[in-house]
Amino acid sequence: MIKLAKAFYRGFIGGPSFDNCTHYRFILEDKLLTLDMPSSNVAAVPSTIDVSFPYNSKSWFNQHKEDYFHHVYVHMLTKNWMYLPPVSYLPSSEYGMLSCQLRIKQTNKINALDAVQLKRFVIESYDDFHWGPDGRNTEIKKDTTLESSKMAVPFEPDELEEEILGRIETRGYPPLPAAKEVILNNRQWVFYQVKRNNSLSRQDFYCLPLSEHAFLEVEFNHRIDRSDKHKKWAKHALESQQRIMESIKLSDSPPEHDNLIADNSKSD
Amino acid sequence: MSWSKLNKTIDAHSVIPLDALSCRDFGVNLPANFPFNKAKFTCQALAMLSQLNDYDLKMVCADIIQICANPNATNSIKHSRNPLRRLWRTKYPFRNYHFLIRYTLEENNISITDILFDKQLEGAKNNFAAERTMLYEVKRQSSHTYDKAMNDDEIKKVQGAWERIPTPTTQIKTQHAAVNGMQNELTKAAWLMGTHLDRAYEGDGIKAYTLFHNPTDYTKLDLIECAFDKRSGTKSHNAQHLAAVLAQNNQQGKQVKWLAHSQGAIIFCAALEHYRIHYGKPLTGQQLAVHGSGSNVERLKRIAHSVGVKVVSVRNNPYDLVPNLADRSKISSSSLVRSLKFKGLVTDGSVGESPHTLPFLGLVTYAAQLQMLGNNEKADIVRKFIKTLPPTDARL
Repeated sequence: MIKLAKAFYRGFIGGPSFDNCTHYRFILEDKLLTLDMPSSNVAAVPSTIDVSFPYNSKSWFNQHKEDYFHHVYVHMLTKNWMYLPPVSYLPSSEYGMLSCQLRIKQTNKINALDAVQLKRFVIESYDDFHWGPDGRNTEIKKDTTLESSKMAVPFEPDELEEEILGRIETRGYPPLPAAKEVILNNRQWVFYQVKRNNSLSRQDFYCLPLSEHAFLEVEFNHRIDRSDKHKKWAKHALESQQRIMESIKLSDSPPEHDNLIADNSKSD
Repeated sequence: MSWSKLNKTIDAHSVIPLDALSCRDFGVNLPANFPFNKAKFTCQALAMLSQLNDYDLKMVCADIIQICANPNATNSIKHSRNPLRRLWRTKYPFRNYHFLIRYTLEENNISITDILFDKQLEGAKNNFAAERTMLYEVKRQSSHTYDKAMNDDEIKKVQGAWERIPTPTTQIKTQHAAVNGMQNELTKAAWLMGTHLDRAYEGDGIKAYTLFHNPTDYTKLDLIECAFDKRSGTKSHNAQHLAAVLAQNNQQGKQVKWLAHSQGAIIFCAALEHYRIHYGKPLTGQQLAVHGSGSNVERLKRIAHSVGVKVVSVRNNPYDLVPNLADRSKISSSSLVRSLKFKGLVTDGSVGESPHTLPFLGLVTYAAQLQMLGNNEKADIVRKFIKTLPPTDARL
């Protein structure tokens, strides 16, 4: 009863609960990455997770990499938390889901240790992908130009530009706000957001340089299923995100943690 | 011998005056009250009109009639403040349709030059109530699909397996199509219906599908919409629109494999009833799979059979309250009690837990998912029920 009253006061149930946290340790070559992550509240099969990540090794990266849109990365850890109504009388009432994913990225295009270069790189990789030969924005531009050429009264050049930008806003990938630097646990992270004007769902990314050609990326995916209820849990999700980020600590690894095979045989 | 004389003076820019009969030569049926003396079309605008289904055409014509009445208005995008427009679900809830009509004013006549999707009105919106009933083509982004109990990373990947921002389309150009259920905004419906289609038509290797998006108007109005479609009178504007899409498919000889989820099944049933009254021709080549049916399955099967639609599969979780309540013809005290025990999971469940939102993968998988969440009591109930079923039962 008290739980229900509390849920009504908060306006939701679910989300990350820091009463039920798991402490994770990852070996990043000569460094130790630790963090506290609340358990998922989504029905998920327990998975084996690697604990060692030789982030400078190109062969290791190529062997384990995955890609999704402009992201090419090696997965480390994912957790999902649903936000739900305190009491609901209809199906599909989920408010939304917050996901957190840690991953390693490599690049030889920049010196990742330089925050200015890294800030530019993360935004440019998004633009380059969507404006690339097979990118969605390129396709929209091509289709709109073709459509205009077939119209009885084609768009004037400035109208065409406006139409392309308008369509990119609604069904393409509009420009991102500039990346910025944030300090967490005395370390400088690069922060950027992938968001759009016609949707409340967004992804927040934090990047921490590990070496000249590798960096750690933490993604927080805010999936909003009901716009009218987002206000209820937005603050909690943001506070949870901040708390998880503050728990991430990178320190020098103790010498006994140098056996990759032994480390990777451990499971969650 | 046959011959055709080409009129080389006509091109996309040519303005064509029409009347009630000549418009049919261009494949366009304009309503009887259309102001033919005031509006002219370019060939390009007529070509676009001929691509539209009956419902879209009716709504675009209503907008053109409005323009003819007020040709000097600077902007016609205005939301209605009449609350009954939203409540009365047979009426279109917006004052204007989602097409941009470009026209020029010549003396007292208007010349419609082009008709295209309005970029301000299509697609996802921050306020879901502003989303429109539209057809969207959704392309697959990755091969991930919901076919077993999954780990956290796989659950995240499944939600990204389909385009988040689909492209509006005037016609169904894919082999598969889906109608979503209640309280599904566009971005959620896009991945969820892709996931359901994967299960409904396993082995088809679906690369893209067309979403008939039934936008949410929040809880109460979504429920009222269900009531409008379940009664025998005029159906909701969604059902009328879907009936026109089905009629267009039939006219073009397209074979489409449909999926209807939850309220989508109610809309599909209502659309078939509307189709039978207003179109009547047999619907050949349309197949339907039903998941988590919000409609009475027997009623849906009956009307589908009468218009020639083949219902290929019905996939309902025995612990899902929605189909148990909807299918009153088959309800038994035991099935109702069984699903009522799990009511909390339908309404408050999460991904992988609710027996309603995601596709039903069988009772064995469902019991395993409940156990993963630490819900051992409910998992035991499911396992006890499994023991009462013959090993060949499809629900396992």
